[in-house]
Amino acid sequence: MPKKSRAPSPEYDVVIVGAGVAGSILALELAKQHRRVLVLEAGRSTRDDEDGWRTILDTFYNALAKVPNSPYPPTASAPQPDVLQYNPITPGVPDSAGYFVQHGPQTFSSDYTRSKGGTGLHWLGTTLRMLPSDFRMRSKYGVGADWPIAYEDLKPCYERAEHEIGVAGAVGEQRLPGVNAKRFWGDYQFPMQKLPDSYLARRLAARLDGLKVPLQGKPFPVYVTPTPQGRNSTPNPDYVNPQTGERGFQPVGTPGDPRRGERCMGNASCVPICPVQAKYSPLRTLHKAQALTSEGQPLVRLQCQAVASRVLTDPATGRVTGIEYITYDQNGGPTSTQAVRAKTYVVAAHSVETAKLLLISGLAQQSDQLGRNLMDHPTMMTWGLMPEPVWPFRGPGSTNAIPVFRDGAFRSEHSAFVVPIDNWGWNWCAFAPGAQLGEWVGQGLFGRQLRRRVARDFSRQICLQWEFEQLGEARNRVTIDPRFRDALGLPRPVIHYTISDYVRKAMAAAAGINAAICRQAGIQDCTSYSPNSPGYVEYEGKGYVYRGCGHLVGTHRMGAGPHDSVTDSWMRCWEHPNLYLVGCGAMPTFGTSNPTLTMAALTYRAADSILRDLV
Amino acid sequence: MSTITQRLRRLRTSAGGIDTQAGLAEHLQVAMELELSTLPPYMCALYSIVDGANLEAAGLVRSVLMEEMLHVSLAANVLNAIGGRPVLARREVLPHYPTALPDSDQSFTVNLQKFSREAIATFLRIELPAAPSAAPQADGYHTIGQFYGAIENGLKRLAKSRAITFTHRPECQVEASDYYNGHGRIITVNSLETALEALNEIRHQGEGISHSVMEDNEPLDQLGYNLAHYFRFMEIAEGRRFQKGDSPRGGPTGPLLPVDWNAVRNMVPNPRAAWYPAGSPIRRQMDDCNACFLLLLQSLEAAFNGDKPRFRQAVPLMLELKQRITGLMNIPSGIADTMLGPSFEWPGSPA
Repeated sequence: MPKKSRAPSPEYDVVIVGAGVAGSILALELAKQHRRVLVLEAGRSTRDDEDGWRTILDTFYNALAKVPNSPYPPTASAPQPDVLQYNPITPGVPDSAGYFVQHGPQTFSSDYTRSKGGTGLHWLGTTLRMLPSDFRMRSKYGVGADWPIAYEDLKPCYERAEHEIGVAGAVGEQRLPGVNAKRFWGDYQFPMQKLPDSYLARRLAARLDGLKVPLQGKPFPVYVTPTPQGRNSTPNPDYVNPQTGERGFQPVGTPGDPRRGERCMGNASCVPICPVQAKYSPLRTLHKAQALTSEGQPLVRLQCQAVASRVLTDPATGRVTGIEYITYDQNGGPTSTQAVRAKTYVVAAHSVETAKLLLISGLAQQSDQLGRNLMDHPTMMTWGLMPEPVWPFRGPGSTNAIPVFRDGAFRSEHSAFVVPIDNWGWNWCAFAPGAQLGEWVGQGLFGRQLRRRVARDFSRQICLQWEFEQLGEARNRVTIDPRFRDALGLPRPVIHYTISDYVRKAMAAAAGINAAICRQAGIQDCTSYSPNSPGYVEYEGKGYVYRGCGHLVGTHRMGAGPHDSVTDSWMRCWEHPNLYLVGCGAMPTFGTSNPTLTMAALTYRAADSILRDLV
Repeated sequence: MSTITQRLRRLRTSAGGIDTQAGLAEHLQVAMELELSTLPPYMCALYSIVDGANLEAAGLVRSVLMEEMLHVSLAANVLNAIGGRPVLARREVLPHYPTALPDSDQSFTVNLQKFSREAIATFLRIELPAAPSAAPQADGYHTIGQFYGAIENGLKRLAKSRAITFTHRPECQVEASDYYNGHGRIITVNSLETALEALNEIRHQGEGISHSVMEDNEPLDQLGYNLAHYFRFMEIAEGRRFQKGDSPRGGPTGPLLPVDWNAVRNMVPNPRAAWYPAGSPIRRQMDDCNACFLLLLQSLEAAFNGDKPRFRQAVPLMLELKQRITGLMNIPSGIADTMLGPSFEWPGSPA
């Protein structure tokens, strides 16, 4: 029986599309100021009670390939990209085997999650702030774009985001290149003490002590620092919340249940899931938001399995008049289309989905920037065997990184890069431990011999992850094509993606630095790049392989004016004054920082503006 | 070997109550031991539940277990503040199971046993002792309520007469950075007020609540008792959650809490290492488990006496202990169809 469509409801101040990190923080901030909010989530409701949590964990444990989306399968009506769907692209033949339709020439091999909680369900938890230079790439290095705001503008928002996420780290141990620490941090401390450095990272740091490598003719010392992370550790009694002046910090574990959730105890499966819920999850923020009431009524209503299908506007004024969305049940029952009205509208549906929805709606296209400047951190891995056991597969995914190449004059020539030191052995680069084990069994090893080999080799595995900055380029873009549609009849994202020489040149430089690191540390380099990999690219006759890092950024960049950007610096559409586009898509550049923290900071900025608009 | 009951009864005070710093310190040491004695039975119940089964009930038992550890730390904080020295890793501190806990004029037996109706019935008695039939007597304490009452009065009286101060050994205080989890919170003790607050936290959550609460028709949440351990075990016993507005007298009327009493590892009650010959693989595992528990107690004792990094060591030790306990529970005991379990004995104890 077809469901009855409800009449458009005027009962909300704000409608938010997307219940991920951005949507959750917005809902909480708006509800704190007694605003009534509806959150529309395309995917299913991720359960966060004990039983539901176990189900998600079991889904992960039972998955053959432990890829980022393995615990969070999509619904037929809200499909999502998956890293298992990617293939090399034959020129002229779009690859539409997965959810994306890929034109290449290079494969875009990152994913995201369409579920309550969004891609924040499987983020790693690394919370690097962007560097001041990252905000002014055009004026400083003559490449990329300048932000309409500076690091200093975003600094208080970073602090708010770090409080909500619950960041563990040591300010004093951050040695950020080109950064005046005093100006960058002030007298700030993180809410929680840093997690212990992994043994592996400590051993590598010791072996690299004193190493200097040349880059564009300048010597760079190769040092290792701890990475700030959004996972629970020991609360910092000296933390002072810069906004409220409150001292100390109370960590949150399981959403809504203070009895559960632990501090990080070193399970190495941060991506895709922390079994003890030490890692920040947007579900925590969402839970807080949903608990807020006014006169006994909840201020935030969350509707899952509600796919926004069109943003409706008044053509005369450009103002948004409603959001049309399709609800579905998971058993293939009938769908129903309805619309909802509010005063202000927010699309926070992830870079690709936000651009897609606006493209479908035919909005925000004056600058011709919508959907363009799609970025990721193309990530090249190098791996080898340390000369001593370093015991990988312990500790969170990564506790330390080599930060020194995050900024420098070389950025006018090629990408900056950050080098996290993985704690999960060759898992990502070479499918450890299964692939090696299979190889040894294939060679006829068994019994004691096999066990010896396992002990000897797995204990020495090391992998460095070279994450390259990518700049916004008009040709790297999300579009739609009416020929390719999903189960609800909505267009699927069509992706054009090129790895430019700016990135490739950095790959070559990184390979050289890796060779110096291996020499100095006595690492037996086992890296090999197959021309058959979807991420195979060449530079000056040598081949490299990159992978997607899941850092999808840049499809609705903010800017100084309506001619070259989609929104203003508050993430308000130039052409649609009551429509905000919030998320990683707003960033004109993102340097070498994992984008979640910066996105969360931007969300606080947008929330301030939305609240001002509503007054 | 003396039980907690015997120790409580042996604690002598003058007619007016606790009147020396040493007497107060001894009381607080026993308070710590009392809280400690609940850990082994709770661990047996919790870890006997088959993985993935009885999630809600396991969550409740686990939350109580976590808070008992908090209570040990709170008692240690008060003890340290008044100049005492917490002791945990001594043979005479380790309870000998089955052990007796005080209840009214009598005591009752606490067994090491699997998650079962009997275990929950015992836990309810641990957390809500029967009303005393007599006023506090000169020969010692007959109920835990009397005992904590005497400590509170002693604290107040000795503080008033300046016989104690609360600023001893601040470096030994367990702080919020050392402990968080569960509903309770650690309280750093440096004054009479914070000392009373710490004791109040123990009593309100745990064993100190008054029996008369069961006669109350007021909603639990208004009584401030909604989170007390007794009511969490009551939820398991009744198979139902409390909801807003429920009173102790009316019991829980909220959503069903299904319990599968069969999804439990069939641990033999009160196992003993000495049942198995020295050097046998089973004996080794029993001994290793006991050694692990002892190491945990040693770490906590060291931390309570100022060696803070040892507190961090306790976390992986708890995890190791859990692995060892469930490991034992997967080995047939040789007695009927039961499985082994932890004995929580001093390593190398004679039978």
